[in-house]
Amino acid sequence: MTKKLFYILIALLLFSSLVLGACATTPEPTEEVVVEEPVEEVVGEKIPLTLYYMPVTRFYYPSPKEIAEGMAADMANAGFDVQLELAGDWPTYLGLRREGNLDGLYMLGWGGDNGDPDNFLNYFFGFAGADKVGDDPSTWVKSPEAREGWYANTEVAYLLYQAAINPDQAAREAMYQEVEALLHEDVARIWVAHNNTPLVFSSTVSGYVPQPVGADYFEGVVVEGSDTFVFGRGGDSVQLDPAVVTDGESFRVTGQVLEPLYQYEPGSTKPIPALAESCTANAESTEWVCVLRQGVKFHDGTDFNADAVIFNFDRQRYTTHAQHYESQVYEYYEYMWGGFDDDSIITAVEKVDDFTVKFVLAEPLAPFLANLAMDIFAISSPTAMEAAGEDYGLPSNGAVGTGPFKFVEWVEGDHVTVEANVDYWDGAPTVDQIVFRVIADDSARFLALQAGDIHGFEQAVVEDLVTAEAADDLYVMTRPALNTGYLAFSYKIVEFQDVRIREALAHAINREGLIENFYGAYGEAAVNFLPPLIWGHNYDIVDWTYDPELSRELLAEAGFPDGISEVTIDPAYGTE
Amino acid sequence: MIRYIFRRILSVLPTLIGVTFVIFMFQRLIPGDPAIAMLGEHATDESIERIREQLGLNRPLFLDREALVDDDIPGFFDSQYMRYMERLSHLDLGDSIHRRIPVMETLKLRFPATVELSLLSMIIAVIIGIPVGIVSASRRNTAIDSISMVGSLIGVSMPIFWLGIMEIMLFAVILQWLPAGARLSTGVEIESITNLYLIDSLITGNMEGFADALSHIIMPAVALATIPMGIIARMTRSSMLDVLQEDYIRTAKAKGLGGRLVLFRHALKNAALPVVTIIGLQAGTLLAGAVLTETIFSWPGIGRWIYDAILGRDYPIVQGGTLLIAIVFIGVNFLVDILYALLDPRIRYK
Repeated sequence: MTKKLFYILIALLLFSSLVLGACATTPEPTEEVVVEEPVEEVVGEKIPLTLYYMPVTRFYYPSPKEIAEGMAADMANAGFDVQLELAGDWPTYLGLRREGNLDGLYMLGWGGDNGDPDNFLNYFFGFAGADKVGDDPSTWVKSPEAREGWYANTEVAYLLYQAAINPDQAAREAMYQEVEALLHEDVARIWVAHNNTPLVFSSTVSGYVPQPVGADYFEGVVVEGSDTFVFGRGGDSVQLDPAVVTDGESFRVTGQVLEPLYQYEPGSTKPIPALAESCTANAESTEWVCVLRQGVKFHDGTDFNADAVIFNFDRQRYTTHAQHYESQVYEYYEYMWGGFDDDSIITAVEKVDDFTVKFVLAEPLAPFLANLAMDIFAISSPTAMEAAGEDYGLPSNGAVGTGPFKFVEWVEGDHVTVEANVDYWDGAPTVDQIVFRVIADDSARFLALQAGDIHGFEQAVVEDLVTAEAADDLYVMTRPALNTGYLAFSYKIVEFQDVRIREALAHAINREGLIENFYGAYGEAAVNFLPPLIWGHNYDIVDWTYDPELSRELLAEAGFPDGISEVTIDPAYGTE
Repeated sequence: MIRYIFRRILSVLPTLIGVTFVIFMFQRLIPGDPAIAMLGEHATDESIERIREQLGLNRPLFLDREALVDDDIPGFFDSQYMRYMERLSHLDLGDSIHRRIPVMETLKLRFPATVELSLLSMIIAVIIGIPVGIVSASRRNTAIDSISMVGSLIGVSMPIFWLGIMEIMLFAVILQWLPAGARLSTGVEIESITNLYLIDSLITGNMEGFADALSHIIMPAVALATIPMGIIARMTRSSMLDVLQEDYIRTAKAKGLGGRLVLFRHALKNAALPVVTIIGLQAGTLLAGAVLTETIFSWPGIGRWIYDAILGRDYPIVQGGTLLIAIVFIGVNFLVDILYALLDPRIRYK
């Protein structure tokens, strides 16, 4: 290469970066978009009827593409000529859904965070912040949200609001059942399946308790012939500070090291005391007094007491707190308690004495204990947090709590090791050490179990489950389903605004057939959004029968005797 | 020669700047962002906005035109790219968005894992591939030739994930000779010096650690070696065949030199140029991380790490990782060029 060419290249590069730089727009939508849109807008644009399937396997959809193909075949049978489409990878898919741009039918699901019906329903159907105009909630109007396929139901939203602030359990249950009935009547979504997630273990292992919500219980695990329990998982933990993460693989580990004031009863979603001996509410349910367990120490020797509890909650709540860092995202605090600083529903955590704290709430919050029991609100040692600063929860520091296991080491992308806490207040765990190993490939994970490298794992493919069930030295256990896979409609589509068409689709899909083929013995057809495990599940709802004939009749009634292959975009939507 | 080396090194800089620019732009052209990837199904609009704000994703990508209107010159340059380049100039690759761990720190652990694996597979590929190619060429159109060429064709077209799974099935599950994956058994520790476990364990005289590390690396190395091995064997054969037809080989044979001497002294060195090129290219590819092999054998290298980062939109990891890969490619190509001059006296760099 000659010198000249070299300089020309540099000049070109610099020039092109300047030009491109000047052309590049900011990622925020600017007014420009609004100006351009009406010109290009075609009124009532026709598009093919499309079903978007998820690009990744999630517990509620074990093989999304195959399930989508099954649904499309069923729909074709009932007169819906539907095209399958892969919109892109997972963040792309979620991004399009958030912007309301999955124009057609799309697959998605939900996994419960805390076993309260509010946690399932409110995210989808409750009032958004901007809907709360004025002081009288009965006058609030639910606006269609892009994220939810532009669906809005004010009656449902108002019921959810009332249920969330009502301390009377029986009354709440009735309200959620009514919500479910309304959603069913409206065919707001097609609920497809709940999946009991299978875990496969070597027969030398016993005592593992899978939890429908919260971290699994490892303290009772016994491994014949080994002091170490090696658990295989598909991905690594993100961070070990539960306050700043949202992924199950992080909680699986922090749940062993740290404990919240309440926890979920083994095998159920019921909150029971953990670091608190009790929490009792006043008559209005706006003040909760928690009596703390005495004589408990953190793994670093720090005493567990009221100050530690206050430190942990204040640290998440106050953006000005010394241990609340800019670089960290306290996603769940905002989500469960309504916001930070003055927006928080918890307006104060007060010290009554060394072992009593009082939570003061801005308004009654019925799922208080269920929220409190979430792994996110587990109590870390204030000393350890102060010492580690911003690096608390990173591989270099791990986490320091009061739990049955102590953090030992974390080799990123490879494994996390924890060891038994012999001084655990509820008795030392039976196994000396747990190693959480990352094995990303599904088949390799199963082979590692067969080879004896690991003792158990989650997320097996259907074929391997058949092998595991037949093998003498392996067994399968299930995590009770706290999830729902569904099919959503974009209400931007004119045809989907007609309830008869939505109902026709609901009758078109043979859910039992899908379960049999893709979920095996672990799935069940969903009748409600709330899985039967959660209270509030409405047993009175009569499920949509699989009836392609009825589908065709409903279609004909709605004006499509020859079926549907094209749909119309409502010009009123899509001008965000 | 020295001037040539100096010039080559100088030309690396604009190439790398170009790489950062292209990667930076294309990454952000893909829809979906770290906030959405982080929050999954549960994301709310408020939290996505807040995370974008916190991560600086709301800043313009390259230059802020609005700031220019307000005559805010520093503001004009305060963009995501400029912030990134500013940090890069201090050799700071930034922190992972999801894990908050400095990218450089993870690279120090993961890149040696990839280097160790790819070097070992390259050694296996060369040790087997070159002799097979030589033998095939010298015994052209015999049974040995056919068998080794069919063998190398199978090697080239073997799906790695299938081979890997079969290896695990046979050696880990059925025979139980080797572990199914990872770099070390739980409980085995090796003092880290270079983070190349085979070398570290030898330096510290930790023979137990060496044996354990070797038992872990052998299957992925063989799986990874199959493709380059096949390519190298085929390339060696065809290059040797070309050279063997040259006049000077006939002259050497006519002089009465032994077949082996002709083959190794006269033919091999001259046939080496294209082989070296191929080895260089293959080595570059392996060092860039072998996503499939790393996934199947749970090998904590950079391939799987970057792949996951792309899916998670963890921009700093993708940027840091690709930059490293670019450096590796440039470095390997550079070495190959220097080797040319050593192998072929006619090549002189000015």
